[in-house]
Formats: sequence, C-alpha cells, structure tokens
Amino acid sequence: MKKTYVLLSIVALIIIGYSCKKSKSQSVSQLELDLPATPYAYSSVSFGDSMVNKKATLGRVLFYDSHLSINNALSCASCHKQAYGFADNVAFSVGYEGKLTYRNSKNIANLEGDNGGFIPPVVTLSSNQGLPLFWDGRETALTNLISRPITNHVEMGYPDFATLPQKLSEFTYYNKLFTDAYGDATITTDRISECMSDFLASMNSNGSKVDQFINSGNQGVLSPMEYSGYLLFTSKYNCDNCHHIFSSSYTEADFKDIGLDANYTDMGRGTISHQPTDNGKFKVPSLHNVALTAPYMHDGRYKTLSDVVDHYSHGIQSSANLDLVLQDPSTGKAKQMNISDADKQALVAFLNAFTDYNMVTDPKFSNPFKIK
Amino acid sequence: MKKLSLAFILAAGCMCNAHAQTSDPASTGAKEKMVDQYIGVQLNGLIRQVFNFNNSTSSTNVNPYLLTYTINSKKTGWGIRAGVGYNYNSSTSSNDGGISTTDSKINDLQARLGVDKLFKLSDKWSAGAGLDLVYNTNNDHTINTENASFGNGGIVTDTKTVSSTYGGGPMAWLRYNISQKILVGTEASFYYVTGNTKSTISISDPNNFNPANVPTVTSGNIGQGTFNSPVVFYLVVKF
Repeated sequence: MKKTYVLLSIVALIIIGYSCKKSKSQSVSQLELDLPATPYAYSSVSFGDSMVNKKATLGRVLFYDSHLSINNALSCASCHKQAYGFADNVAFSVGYEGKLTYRNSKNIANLEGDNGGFIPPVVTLSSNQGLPLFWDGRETALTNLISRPITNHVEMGYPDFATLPQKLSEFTYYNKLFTDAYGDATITTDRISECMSDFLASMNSNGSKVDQFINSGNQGVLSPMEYSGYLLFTSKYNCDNCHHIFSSSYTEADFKDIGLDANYTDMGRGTISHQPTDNGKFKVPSLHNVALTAPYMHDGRYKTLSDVVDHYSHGIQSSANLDLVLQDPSTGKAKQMNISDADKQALVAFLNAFTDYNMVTDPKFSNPFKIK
Repeated sequence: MKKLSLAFILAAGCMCNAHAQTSDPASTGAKEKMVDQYIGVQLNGLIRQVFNFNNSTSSTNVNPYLLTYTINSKKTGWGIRAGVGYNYNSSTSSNDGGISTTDSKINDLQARLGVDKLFKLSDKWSAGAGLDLVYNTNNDHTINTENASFGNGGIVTDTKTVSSTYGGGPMAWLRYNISQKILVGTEASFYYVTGNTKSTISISDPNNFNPANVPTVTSGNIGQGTFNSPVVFYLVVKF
C-alpha cells in the first residue's frame, strides 16, 4: 500500500512538473522600421556628400539590426546601449553564443574628436584616420572598426565579413535604404562600413553640464560642488593630464598604465604593438556620459565612480609601465593621493555632470525597430 | 552561502593544520613515504566568490585549470602532474528589447598531463619545472528565436560549435609552505596548441529567407601560443 502511495506521488509530481513547464509561444509579433520621412540631421555640414544623412540613417538601422550577427542574436546595440551612454552595464558583454567578451564594451561618443582635437580636417563624417579605437587601439579608422566585432569569434561570429552583404540583401527594407543612400540597392562591405561609421561619427555629446560650462565659460552652469570637483580635477589631482577637459572627447590619443595590477593579466596595447613598454597600457577612455557607463576599466572591475576615485586615492599598484604622473617622484613607486572624502564627493559630482541626457534619449540614435 | 564557504575553508585549514603528536617512523616501524602528493585548487575565483571583490566573471580565463594533482618522488623530485578545468553555462537572454531570445549552453573542458621536477629551495619555498601536454575541447549550442518579425514568423537559428585543440609546452611553478600540509603556489607556462573548430548553423524561416546565402557549416584551424603569467594562485594541500 505504501509503495502504491509513493508511486502515485511520483506520477503526480511528474504530471505537475510537466504541466508547469513553460510552453513556448508560437506567436510572433510584427516588427516595423520606424524612420522619419525626412532623415534626421546627423551632420549639420555635408562635407560635400549630400547623402550623408541618408547614409547615417542606414547606419542606424544596421547598428540596431541583429541580422548582423551570424545567428541573428545580437546587434551592435546589444552591447552599446543608448541608455548607458552606448556602453554596456556589465563588465563583459555576452557574445552571439552566450560567451563573454574579453573586455568591457567602450562607450560611443565624439569618436571624431577622440585624439584630443588635433585631427585633420574631415572630408566626410567617417573619413578620419589616426584615431586609436578599442581599448588597445587595434584600429585607427572608424570605417575599419565596423568589421571587427562582426567578425569576432565571440562577439557576432561572422567568419568572413564578405558574406554579410548577401545575407542582408534578403531583407527587403535594405533595398530601399541602400537605394536612398547610394542610388542603387547594391550592398557591399564598403557601403556597410561607410554608413555605420557615419552613424557612429554623428554620435556627439555636447549637452552635458560640463559641455555647456566648457563651451560658454559660465561656471554658473555647474553646482558649487561640481565646480569644486572641476577645480580638483584640473589642478590638485591633475586628472586632466590624460582626460583633457578642453578636448571634445575629454581624453587623449594615448595609452596609459594606471597601475590596476602589479602583474598584468591583460597586456592591453602591448598585444598590438608587441612592445614590452606598452604592456598593461589601455586607451584613455572618454568621459562623456561617464556616470552611465559603469562598470569601469577595461575589465569592468569597478562598479562605481567612487570606486574609481578610490583607486587613484590609494589603490594604484607599482606596475612595470606605470604612468609617470601616477608615480611618486621621490621613490618611483605608485603614488598615494589619499583623496579626502570631501574631495571624493566633489570629484564624483563633477564626473556626474558629464551626463548628456539629450544624447541618451535622442530619437535619432534610438532603435528604429519597433515591435507593433 | 559565502559565509558558509568561508567557514568551510577556515575549518578545512584548521583541520589540516591540526597535528597529533608526531611519532618517529623508525620507532613505530611505519614505512617512510616514497612520494608526496599535492592537490591544488585555483584561488583567484574562490577569493572573488567568497569576498565578493568583483561580482563579474572574468572572461579572460588566464589559467583554466581549476584542479591540479601532482605526485613527486621524495628522493628525486621527479613527478607526474595533471590538471582539469570544466565550465558549463546554460543561459537564456532577451535581446534588443525582446526582439529575439537566445538560449545558450556552453561546455568547455581543459585538461593537461605532464612531468615535472621539484626543487626544494628552503624549508618554506619550493619550485618546479616541467613539460605538459594539454587538451581543450568546447561544445557550445545556441538557439536564437526571433519574437518579432517583418513577415509571418520569426527566424530560428540553431548554432553548434565544436572545437578541440591539443598541444603542450614548458611550465614552471613556485610554492610557499604556509604549514606542513598547506601551501600556496603560482605558475607560469607557455602552451602551443593546434586543432580545429567547426560551426554548424541551421536556419528555420517561415518567410522563405534563403538559407543557402548563409554559411551553414564553417570550419577553421586553430594554432596559437599562449603565455600564462604567474597571476593565478593555487591553494595546495600536501598529503
């Protein structure tokens, strides 16, 4: 009798378990492409290319289209989210097969001015050369950047970028978009790269409190705490030695070892240049929307801006290629800035003032694919 | 759970450090040990989990061998060493505002076998050098289902990636005796591996998207040398 009860209980549990199993819905929502009749003004200047706004519009669609990954799982926007200043809110993003990427996704803003303002005159939005891109500067031109994540074996998985145009040609919306941008519907890798880099180059942040303060010189734009942080940033702690406050991207075109680890786990720039003196160095990140782009550093090790300031306060390690600015001149070892709580608060307040709420809500940078 | 893990580790450490009165093997007639055996567990991940220094999982797996076993002759120092690491991850994620859902299953196995020679540097310090053979295999399966589509239904893309590599290279290690039975150690290695990877992609599309235009099977050869710097620490128990 007891055995019967046990048996019945097991059967009942199996039935309950089976009935509770989430049934996969077969219904599929309709998707629509929500684009304005007149393209947004991505560039106020045409640079001799009257189609630049249409190309950037096409770039926007490509940026948000998950068909750019080999299994249709990920778009560029999966790791570069508008709400987070076009960075990701995790230390490592998830690739097309569920594997983690090797480094933290960088934010996107003012890429054209990424070299600190010393750029040659631009001809088209995406034409400039010589800007270090990625954490290790593996590319220096926006047009060359495009194929990197698409063909990365962890990120979007295409073994050959050249096979992508044929796949995209199967989606009817691209016929119209390429015709609008180029006069015919031919899809090529060059056209994909040009349009996407036009879109990336147009992602400019200039509406933050710091932007307004720098452009106008009106310190009233900043709160007293933020202004105090600005003074500390530019004088006492000399942060703008690398994060140039008067450049359009608040960075410089260089790579620095900021003493994250005494022994390097990631060689950074050294993996590209193969120079031992570049080991442990990474591209100085832009400060645009920095409050939205947590976690921080190339491996997302710091969750908050306060953690980042703590690193500079008392966490710098004496690594082999530690930047001179972060060394104690008398000992050559890592500098301990011992930033007080009040100074830390002011610095964090100032960093928060880099947030451009217009950019992160601007419809011209938003996902054009809408679920009906 | 973290506190429990910490308590377990501390208790294990205390137990391993607790000794009964030692007796002279000669007087008891016990056989003298011919070999020393060592079991190691990688500390980096453990410390991160217990103390929550960083809740993110580092994707840069600098040394994938989570468990190691070594047996060395007490007389000559020569020994055999083995290591194994296994990673299984099953996840479901919603992409790009719910346009698609991805189910992923990742199976990664790394194993190594080798010989090494132990050098006693002092009472507390020991070092070793050796040669390893390594074998790595990955078997990953991902299904991406579109929940929204321009046509009559969403594309379902099934991706299977299988890769295996084998190779080997030199390695060296350094250990410090915290007590008679507990050691901490680190190691450096250079492994060159070669092998192949094969991805099979199958597509189901109710809108008659032409699957012939998408590579259904891709394969490639892998050949890479990796230097692992001594940044991974092992907690080693000697018995």
